Amino acid sequence: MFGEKAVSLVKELHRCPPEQLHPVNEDLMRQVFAEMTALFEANKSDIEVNDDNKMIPSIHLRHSALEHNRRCVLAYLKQRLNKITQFRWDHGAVLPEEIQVNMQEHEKQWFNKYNKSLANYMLSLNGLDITQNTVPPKSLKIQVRCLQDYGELETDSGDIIMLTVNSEHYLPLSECEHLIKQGVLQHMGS
Amino acid sequence: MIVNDILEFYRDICGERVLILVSTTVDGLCAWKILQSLLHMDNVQYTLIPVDGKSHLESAFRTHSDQNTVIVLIDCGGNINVSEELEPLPDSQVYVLDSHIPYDLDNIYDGDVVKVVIPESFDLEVPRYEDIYEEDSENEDEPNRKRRREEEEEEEDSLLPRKERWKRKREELLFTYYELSGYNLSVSLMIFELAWKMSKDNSQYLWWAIIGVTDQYLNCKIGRDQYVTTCGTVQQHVQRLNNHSDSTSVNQMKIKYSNELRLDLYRHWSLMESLKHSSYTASRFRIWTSKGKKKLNEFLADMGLPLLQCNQTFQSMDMEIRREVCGWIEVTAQKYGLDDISYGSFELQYGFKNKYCAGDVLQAVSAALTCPTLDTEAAFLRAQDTLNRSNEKLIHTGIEQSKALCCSLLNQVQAFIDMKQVVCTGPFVYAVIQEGVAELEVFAHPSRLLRLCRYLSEAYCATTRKAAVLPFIIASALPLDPEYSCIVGVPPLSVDSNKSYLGRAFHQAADKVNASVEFEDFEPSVMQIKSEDKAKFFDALTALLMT
Repeated sequence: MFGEKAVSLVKELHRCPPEQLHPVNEDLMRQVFAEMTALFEANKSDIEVNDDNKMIPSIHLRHSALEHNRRCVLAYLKQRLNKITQFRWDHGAVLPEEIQVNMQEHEKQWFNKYNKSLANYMLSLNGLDITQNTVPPKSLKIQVRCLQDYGELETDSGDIIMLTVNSEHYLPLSECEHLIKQGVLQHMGS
Repeated sequence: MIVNDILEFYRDICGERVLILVSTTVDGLCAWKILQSLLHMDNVQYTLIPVDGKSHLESAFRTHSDQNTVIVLIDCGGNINVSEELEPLPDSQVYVLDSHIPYDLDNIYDGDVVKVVIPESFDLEVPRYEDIYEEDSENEDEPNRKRRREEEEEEEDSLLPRKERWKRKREELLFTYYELSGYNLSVSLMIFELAWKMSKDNSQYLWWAIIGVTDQYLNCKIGRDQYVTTCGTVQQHVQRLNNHSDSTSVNQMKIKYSNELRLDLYRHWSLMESLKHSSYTASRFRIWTSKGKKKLNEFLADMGLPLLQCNQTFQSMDMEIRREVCGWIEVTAQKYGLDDISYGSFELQYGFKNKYCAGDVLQAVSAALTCPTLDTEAAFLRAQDTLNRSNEKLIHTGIEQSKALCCSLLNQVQAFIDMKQVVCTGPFVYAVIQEGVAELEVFAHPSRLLRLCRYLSEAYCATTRKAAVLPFIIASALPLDPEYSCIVGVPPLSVDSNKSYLGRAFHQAADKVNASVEFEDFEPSVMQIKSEDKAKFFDALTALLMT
């Protein structure tokens, strides 16, 4: 049946977990393209050979199958780009290796362009990083527990805080975020 | 300097970065939990360091005090000279919230740096300033000199004795002031009342305060009278909070006043085990003798409680029995001379399956707090998590640990009595946990040793009546450092007040024989002594208490 392969292409994308990106299924794409070429050729020959109207229904059928395939392929590619956009917001300007290897050359180019325009936009906002704090935080300060002897931490306000093992602190989120990522502090949900 | 208004204390710490040092007691922990929530509400940045002894307090203070101008000491620091021992910077403020009395007089009368927070309701018997401190020489000498010049040398003779008299009186006053050590109002209740005065109180805070108060009572830090009065205050808060909340959700915390049996953890254990291991029943029945076991069985038979049911976990007992058994025990206990087997306490319920009584939670928390396998800070943080409502698992771990502790306590007491290791010297009774005993590790924490000591005194007095008027002392080698031993003491059973003169006596005896001792703990009747000085120390203590 026409269009089945194109649908399986979309389904495959749907099965892919949101935090991953599978490589482009070129094989299946080629098959879809081949089907589309075949449909196009069949329509063309039908038009050229018979100029009466009795072939019009079959031409219509083939044409809508063709359109359907085109939509599926475009949706497939567009959805991949959407995912890559999301990765930019989640992971920052440099994507992890396992995502990059599955990106195609033109996708990488697109990603670079997207990066650039995002950076330009943020620059126009006096360098505000709009990818941070997309959800309003519940409180500006959080309760953290210190897991190792880290030493002194200088805060933005100029205060110095000694971080010793097994002490507990209540600090502004912005100041201890990187320490939580490093594993020095542990965030305690209250 | 004394701060009477606790609101003033809170106003001062808001808006600054606060350094908080909390002693590792259940009361201190509960107080901290309440204060922590308040600080979160007001967005106050803080640093918390749990401390377990004086030297630990000092080192933590040194490391962290440079960066903070406001420092709060919770349940510690009242009975040490803060400005001398901790040397706070002159522009800093040190607030002391402590339940240990007597307070060091220097904390009360010294400058503006150290502020002791004492609610007005507590009447503090402190000697007057003029009686303790010598007047500043400049202010006082001027008129003296003038007078001297006027009245010449006749006055000289009478001046000296006056000073002498003042000195003697001062010594006497100081002696009576520092002689007895004890506890006043629980710190957690104090902080709860702070929350109440700011209209920020809720059932959760009240529950924490109740655990703090229960800790004071069950660990004999306050006497029965004081406990009953405090319970009255708490009861008012309970009623007010229950009235205010009109929501009928099951998940809401509901606190209820109830009569509680002096049986450890029986809701989470079997009735038989609990009766066997609780200090109150074990010592009254003398459970370590075969006669005692028989008597316990007789007691159960008297109630008409089948053994099959008693040996089951409490939760699996028949519904009817479970509902009625507390009343039966109370009635039957009177026949067996266990008059005060119950005391007024509180229980908490939320959700369909969570029901805890204050005593059980207290045991779970204190087991986590004194856990021998964790270091102090980690144990404190673990205990802090145990108090959170969402951590049922930790409560149950705590309860299991606490059961193990109850078994160890009974075994150790039984060993003491069976092996006749309890020695009566005349003015006091003592026992020594021998080195190399497996239980040594279990009793590493001074508060566990204190509990053992109370258990032993109850058990020993059940057989030897006249020992009830004598204080009990236990010595045990420190498992980490066998060179040193830990010595703890509890006041005599028959004395109603919970004030103890042992801390003072320990000091004097150690001074007399020049033993190398350390008073690490905030509780004065706990001390560390070099093991070789132990015999010498006991001799001196005997001589001292004889007089």
